[in-house]
This record gives sequence, structure tokens and C-alpha cells, in this order.
Amino acid sequence: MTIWTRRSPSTKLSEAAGTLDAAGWSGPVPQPGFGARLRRWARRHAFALTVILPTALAGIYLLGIAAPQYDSEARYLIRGRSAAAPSLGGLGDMMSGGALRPSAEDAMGIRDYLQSHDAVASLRGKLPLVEIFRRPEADPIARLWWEEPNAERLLDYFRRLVTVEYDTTSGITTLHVRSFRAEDSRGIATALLDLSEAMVNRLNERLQQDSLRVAREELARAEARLTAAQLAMSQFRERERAVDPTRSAAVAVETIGKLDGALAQARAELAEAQRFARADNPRLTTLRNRVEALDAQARAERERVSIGEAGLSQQIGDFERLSLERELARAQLASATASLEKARVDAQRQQLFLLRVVEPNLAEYARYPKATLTVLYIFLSLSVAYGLAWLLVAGMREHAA
Amino acid sequence: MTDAALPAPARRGTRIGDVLACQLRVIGALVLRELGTRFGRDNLGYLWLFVEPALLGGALGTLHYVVAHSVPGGLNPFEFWVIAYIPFYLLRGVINRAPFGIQANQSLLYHRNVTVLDILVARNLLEGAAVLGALIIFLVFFGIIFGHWPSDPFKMLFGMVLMLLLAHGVSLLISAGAVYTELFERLVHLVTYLSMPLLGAFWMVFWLPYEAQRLALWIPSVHIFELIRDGHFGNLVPTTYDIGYVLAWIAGTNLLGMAAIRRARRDLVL
Repeated sequence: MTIWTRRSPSTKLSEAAGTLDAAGWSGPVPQPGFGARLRRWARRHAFALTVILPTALAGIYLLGIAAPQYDSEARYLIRGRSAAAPSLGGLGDMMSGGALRPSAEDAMGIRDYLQSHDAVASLRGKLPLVEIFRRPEADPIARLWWEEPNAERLLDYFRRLVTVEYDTTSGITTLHVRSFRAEDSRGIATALLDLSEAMVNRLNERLQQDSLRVAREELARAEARLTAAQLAMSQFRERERAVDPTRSAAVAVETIGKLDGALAQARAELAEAQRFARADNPRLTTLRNRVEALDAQARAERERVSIGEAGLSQQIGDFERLSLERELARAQLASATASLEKARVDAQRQQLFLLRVVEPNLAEYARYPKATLTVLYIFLSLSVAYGLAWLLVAGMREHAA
Repeated sequence: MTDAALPAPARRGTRIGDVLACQLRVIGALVLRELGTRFGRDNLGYLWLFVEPALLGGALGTLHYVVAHSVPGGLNPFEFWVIAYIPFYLLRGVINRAPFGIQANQSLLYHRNVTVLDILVARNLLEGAAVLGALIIFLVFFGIIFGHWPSDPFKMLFGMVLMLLLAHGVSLLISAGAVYTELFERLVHLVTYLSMPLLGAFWMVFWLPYEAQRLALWIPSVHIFELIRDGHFGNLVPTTYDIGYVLAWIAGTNLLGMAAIRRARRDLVL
């Protein structure tokens, strides 16, 4: 005979779960655990928990705790001169001025610069940026969380508060700065505008110095060439003891011509005298002597002009090469001077301009955070998400066995 | 642990994991069934699934390539048209099939575990898989022939998923409407055909003047096409899209669509 015994049910919940089975003693039905109750309660109030509660939290924060943020707005245009304008030469160019037109690439460049670590670093040099982002009136969620943020965190935060938008149709860039004090917003916006102006100036300087540098180098080269040509010329003159061989040659040719003329005349006279004078006539002797002298002189002159190392023709060749070189050097110098002048004129008017269309304003009313709209958005999107989830779960539950 | 203290049989099968598994099994089975009814086993069989969109996309791309319309921005016209056409094929296919979804599978609703949503999800999943397969075939083809691999394949995949979800939401609405009136069956082809130039498949936002761009960006599919192009061409062309906007549309259409399906199920006469 066997005696059946049953253990009395445990009073501890954790044991009860394991020991009680369907066929077991009914015993006292244990109170559902805290977790289960919580889950059932959460299921019953799902909408309140997932939609109403977050919305309410956001509402409390935005309407009650969030510090007002003041918005400062500034607008500017970046304009450049058209580089392709046909040049009319120095003054004409300056008068016509070239068309001013918006320059999209430069505007985008400045926009990217304003949102870069470079701009943040420069700004930190001008303003106590971290202090501005951690004003005592700022609420703990919206303010910069770190007292000494690293550059990346500061940049991220900076990009959240400072927006730069470029409108491709009008060419206007709009700068928005938010911070916890109206003066701070305006200060940052002004500093940013100054920075972008400095950037534009730097770009201009680069452009100008590049073009001026090339022109100056060209001018120096032309000057050196002209000096060298002049020096070669004077050395030639010293060496050859001739100021102008061309002219000496002309003189020599003239002398030869004159000698030839005189010789011809003397010969004619001699021939004439021989017709009627006797052979021992003294006049004939005189004439004959003259013809001989003239002939010798003319021959000597001819030899001097054309023959030998010191010959005039050689000198003339050298001299003409030198004077041609000097002419060329002069022309180059003139053109280099003109282009330097033009580069200087170009440099005098800026290639890029930053035109301030709207100066940064001092906000009177804190436009941010947009509490009502934000709460509405949160409520709407959470409701839609809740609806989707509910429908999905309901669809799944239809598969319940 | 404490759950076991509650009456066990009633809890069985109602846990969310269990019903989800059940739903997934149902959808899987429906996908297989859909495959069978649409393609059969003859001929190329299931391969038609990928071949069909690939053929259409390829034919259109070749056509534009031969006619040699140049695409602004200097893109390869063949790639541009294929990348435009394949996601468009997904959108059009899902929406055009939507009015017939419930009607064709009505008899399945006699099974307690098959719901209208399951049927539609299965059909659209199949469509999405087909088009994704075709897209991958083309991407590999582009990579080998033109030497141009997608600059960010995950963006493309994400774009395709967004496109499928958007099309799914709209198709739910149309399917629900088709329960009440035949109008949807008659008009859906006309509307998808007419809206072809508006959907953003065959032009890019940056081609338009600024004012037109702002109008175009109200259309959700424009964003998705731009996202897919961004994934494929990367920095070759400027693209403009806002994923949050698309997600809002997807949430809205799916919410309304699922609600409409639930309502329509009650009025459905089996």
C-alpha cells in the first residue's frame, strides 16, 4: 500500500511558477508578479505611454524649461567682375569697369568656409564662443554640454546653431545665428560677416599678387635685356673706336666717289692736254702727277672700306646686330611696362566683392524654440507611428491560433 | 517566470513572437504560391521573375543609347535610363497590380490564417525581389562593361526599399478601394501612365529651374529616384533629396492603407 502525499504549494512566487502544473492543486492563485502587472498596465495604456507621455515631456521641456533662443539674420551677396571682358587697355578698362555679376562658386566657397572648423577657430579668437554657448540662462539640454569641448564637438554644435544658405536664383546668401542672448547672436553674425569679408579680401590679394608678380618679373627681364644691349653697344664702340660705322662707311663711300670724280676729271684734262701740248710740257707733268695721286688715294680708300679685319663692312654687320637687339629690348620693355600698368589697374579694383544686403539684426523676440509647432510635430509623428504599430500588431494577432 | 502562473492554454500562440512567426510563414507560403501562379514551371519558369524587368529596362536603355539622347550632366545615357526605369518599374508594377490583388486571391481568405494584408505584402515583396534582382544584374553588367560600379550600393538598396514601401502604401489604398468600386481597376493604368513624367524617374531635379525644383520636391518619388541616383553616380551629378519627407509619406500612406484594408475586409463578400 502506498501513501500518496502532496506537497503543500509553496508560498514563494518563484517556486510556485515551477511546481504548480495544470493538474496540481489549485491552491491559492498567486498574485501576478510586479513585472506582469506592469506589462498588463502598459498594454492597457499603450497610447498614453508611447504618444502622450513623450509629447507631454517634450511640451514640458519646450514650454517650461527651454531657454529662449534669439535669432539674428544677415544677408550678403558675393559679386565678381567678369574676367572675360575684352580689354581696351589701362584706362579704358578702368572706365568700363567690367560687368559686376554674382559669382556662385565664390559664394558657395564662402558658405562652406563659414561652416568650417577654420571659421570656428577664427571666431574663437575673436569671441568667447564656448562661454556664449554656455550662458547661465541656457537650459541644460540645449546648451553646449562640455566646458572645454574639443574642436569637433564645438563644430557640430556650431553647425546646429549657425546656418548659411545660398539661394541660387538671387545669389543671396542668408546667415542665421541662434544663441541664448540677442547681443550674442548679433555679435556672432557680425563676426562671421567680418570673417567672410576678410576671406574675400584674402582671395583678392592672392589673385592680384599673382597677376602683379608675373608682370613685375616680365618687366625686370625686359630691363635687364635692354641694359645688356646698351652695354654691348658701348663696348663695341670702345673696341672699334667708331661711334657709328654705318655713317663712317657712308662718308668713306662719299670720299671714294669724290676721288673717283676728281680722278676722272684729272684724266680728262690730261687727255685734253696731251692733244696739243708737247711731251715735255710742265703742265702735263703736273696733271700726270695729280692723276697718279688721285688714283692711289682712291685705291687706298677702297681697301680701307672693304678689306681686312678692321674692315668697315665687318663693323657694320656687328653694329647692326647690336642695334637690332637694342630695338627689340626697347619694344619688350615698353610692352612689359604696359602690362604691369594694366595689372596694377586690375589690382586697384577688387576682383570680388562682398556686399552686405542685410546687416545682422538685434532680435527683440526669441523665435526659438518653436514650442507649439514642435510639440505638434512630435504628437503627429508619434501618433502615426503608433497607428502603424497598432495596425501591424493587430494584423499579426489575426494569425493567433 | 511569473507568466506561467497564469492559465497556460489561453496564452499559447498569442505571444507576439509566435503570431509573427505564423504571419511570416503565411507570407512565405503566399510568395511561393504567387510565384507558381504567375510564372509556372514551363519555359524559363521562375527566372522570368528577374528577366522580365531586366528585359524592359535593358530595352529602354538600349533604345535611348542608340538614339543617343545625351543626358545633361554627362552621364552615360544607358546607365541613366536603366537606373531610372528599374525603380519606376517597381512603382508602376506594384500600383498597377494593386486593384487585382484581393480579387485574384479571394478564395485564400477562407483560411483563417490568411489575411488580406498577407496577400498584398506577399505580392509586393515578390515584385520588389524581382526588381531588385534585375537591378543587381544591371549593376554587375555596368561594372563589367562600363567599369562603373555604384558609388554607394547601400544608398541604392535603401532607395529601392523606400520605393517598395511607398508603392506598398499606395497599393494598399488602391486595393482597399477596389473592394468597393471597379473604378480603380479601370483607371489605374491610365493614371500611372499619365503620371509617368511627374514621378521623377526620367529627369533630375538639378535640370530644372529653381522654382520648378521646389514644386518637384513635393513629389515623394522624386526624392527616392534622386537617392538611388546619388547611390549610383555619387558625386558625378548634384542630387537633392530629403529622406525624412519620404519617410513621412511612407508612414502616412501605410497607415491609411492598412486602416483602409481592415475596413475593406469587413465589407468584403466572400
